[in-house]
Amino acid sequence: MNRGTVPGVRRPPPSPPARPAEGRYRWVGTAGAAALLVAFWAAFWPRGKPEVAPPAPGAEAPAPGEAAPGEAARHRPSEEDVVPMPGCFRGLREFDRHATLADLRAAILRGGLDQPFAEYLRGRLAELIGGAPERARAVLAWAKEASGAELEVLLGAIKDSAAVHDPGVAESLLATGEDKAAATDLRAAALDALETQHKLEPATMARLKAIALDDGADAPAWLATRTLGRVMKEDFEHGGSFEPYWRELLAIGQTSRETQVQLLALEMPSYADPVLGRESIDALAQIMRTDPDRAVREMAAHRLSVTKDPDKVLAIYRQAFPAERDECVRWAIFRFTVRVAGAGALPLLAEFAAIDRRFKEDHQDFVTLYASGTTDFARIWTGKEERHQCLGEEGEER
Amino acid sequence: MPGRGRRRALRAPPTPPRRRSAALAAAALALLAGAAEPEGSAPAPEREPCSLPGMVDDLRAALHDGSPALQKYQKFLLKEAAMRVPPERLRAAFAAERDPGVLEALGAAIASRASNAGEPAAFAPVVERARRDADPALRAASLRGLRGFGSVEAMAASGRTSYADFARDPAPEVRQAAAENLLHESQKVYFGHERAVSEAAVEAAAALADPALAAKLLAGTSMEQAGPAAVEKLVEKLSADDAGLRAAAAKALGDVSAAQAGAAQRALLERYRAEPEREVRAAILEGLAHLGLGAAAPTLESLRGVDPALAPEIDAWLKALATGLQEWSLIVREKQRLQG
Repeated sequence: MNRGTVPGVRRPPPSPPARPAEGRYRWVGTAGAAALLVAFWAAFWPRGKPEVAPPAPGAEAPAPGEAAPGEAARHRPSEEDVVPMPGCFRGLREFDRHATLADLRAAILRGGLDQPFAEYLRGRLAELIGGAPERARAVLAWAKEASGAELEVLLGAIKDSAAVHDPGVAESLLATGEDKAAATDLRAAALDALETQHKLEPATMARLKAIALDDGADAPAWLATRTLGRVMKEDFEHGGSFEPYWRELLAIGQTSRETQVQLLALEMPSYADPVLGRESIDALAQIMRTDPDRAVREMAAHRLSVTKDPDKVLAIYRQAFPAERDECVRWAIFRFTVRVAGAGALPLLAEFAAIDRRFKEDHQDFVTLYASGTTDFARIWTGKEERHQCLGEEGEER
Repeated sequence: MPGRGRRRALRAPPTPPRRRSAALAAAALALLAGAAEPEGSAPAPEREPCSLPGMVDDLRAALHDGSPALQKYQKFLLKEAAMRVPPERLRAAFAAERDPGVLEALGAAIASRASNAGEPAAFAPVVERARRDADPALRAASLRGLRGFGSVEAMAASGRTSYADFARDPAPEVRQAAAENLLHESQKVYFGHERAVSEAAVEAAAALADPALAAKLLAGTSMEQAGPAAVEKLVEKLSADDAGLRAAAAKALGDVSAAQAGAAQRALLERYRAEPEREVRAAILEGLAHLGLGAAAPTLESLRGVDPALAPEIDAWLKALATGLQEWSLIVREKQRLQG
């Protein structure tokens, strides 16, 4: 059984599931990685005898545990020593010690980056940016001239640096994300870097919402939504309020014309699990009852399941179950009824099972699980057998 | 729904029309780099074929004076090499190594290979070095090399040792490494769902002479799958000399499965009445709330007269349980929020 740790959902948080948009913006996607590897092997992998300098006389590596060797003393591989993998460099130690931002930029521009080396360059660049906003802005300027893996390394370095928390840098990232004249991948990467913020001001949230609701924005709309959700989680987990973020996410969930954006907006609270107030219930119930997309209706049912007003939510579920025709949405209502009321939900589950016989075994499963004495829904859920084919290829609810 | 028009799926983003020629890029680079700092002087590194001795040298150098990014990179490469290097070479390099940082990385490479191959017995060189090396720093480093893998299973497969033995090691760094491994394995490898790890953690905690470390181990390990023998050991720790360890045992007892809940509840109730420390009594209240969730309210109410100073704590739990939330993690969080 796939034991998702978001109770009621069988997939692993905290990273939201890969979606088409996110998949495109993973810094090295499968196709990209394959292409880079092919390019690397073609360009660098030796055929026949390795073309490396022979070991210098007396340049043996010191015995293990002795002081670190200098560059000249590095082990030079004999043919039988060669390990068939990319990633080794002569002169990397010196480069690491002396490289400036410009040197790192030049290394990135040379291209042919395999993933681990790209990660190294990103990490080292982030270290060199440090907490200096002017350095972060210089790298952002470079990023505006880059694309593909180079862009991902440059903006990833800004994202990983301490300077990303400088208000001026954050503003530059947001402005880049808003820039409709900029390339989609640049806007998306800038918005992705912005998710590092500990807190967002209301004006920033409103600007992100505007990107999310821009019909032409595609990936930036999805990234703006995710950033709103991820900063909400960060802020909430450190004692802040989730409500200002959730208001914007709910508005996106209600009004976005992009199903993936709408779905993500409703999904993001899953990673912080705030107890939603009564004021959200009617809007979520409306989405659950009327949205044309099955996945969105399922997500609205999920969102209702951590609530300050369980009685009202149970009444909504009771009304929605018979009106719903889709098995997977009914299954969502069924299991989230348990999440709302625990063992107290069993009579309502019996009603649901009487309406739709496909849920009789589920009802019995929950009766048995609660009879065992288990009380925590997270544990109940891990013990529950899956009886409905509602999972997609990526492990997402379908 | 307001404003709802026809849906469309997200499109693939257009290919950015911003690829520049190498000359343009170089010019831009020169201009922009100049704005930040002078052109650097570091010669570009040149690719070369990888070899195990070369990677070990590079890691040693990186650990000596490399940046954190370089250290991470070199460790990653060594782990990646594990499946491509003949195992006897990897074992020989591990056996010859005396630098703790490099030894840990080589141990992780062997463990990675053993884990990928599904061969618990292949962990043996690392486990044995962690047991037998005369240098405690190298024992601890070997043990850390097992972090993130199924080390409890590997030790069980060896039949020669367990984490309880490492918890008795005379060197504090070895004991620390043992506890950190178990915490990592419970939280990050099995997400609390592996009985053998829970029970290994309880046995190790029972063997540790350092009560603070034992308490940390119990506090961070899921007891969801712990069996009756482990619960019995936890009950014993309710009478430990150290209050912090008693409190950790009380909270751990709250985390046991429904099958063990009766024994845990009886022990907690008995201890509550005998316990002299308020901090431990508060932990017992938490354990009882965890065991019963909403059904724990009468039990908590019944304890109100034992120590009036804890009435506010009982009230706070009752208020949190009254939210009707059905998950322990949410109830704990709401209690903290309700208490401000």
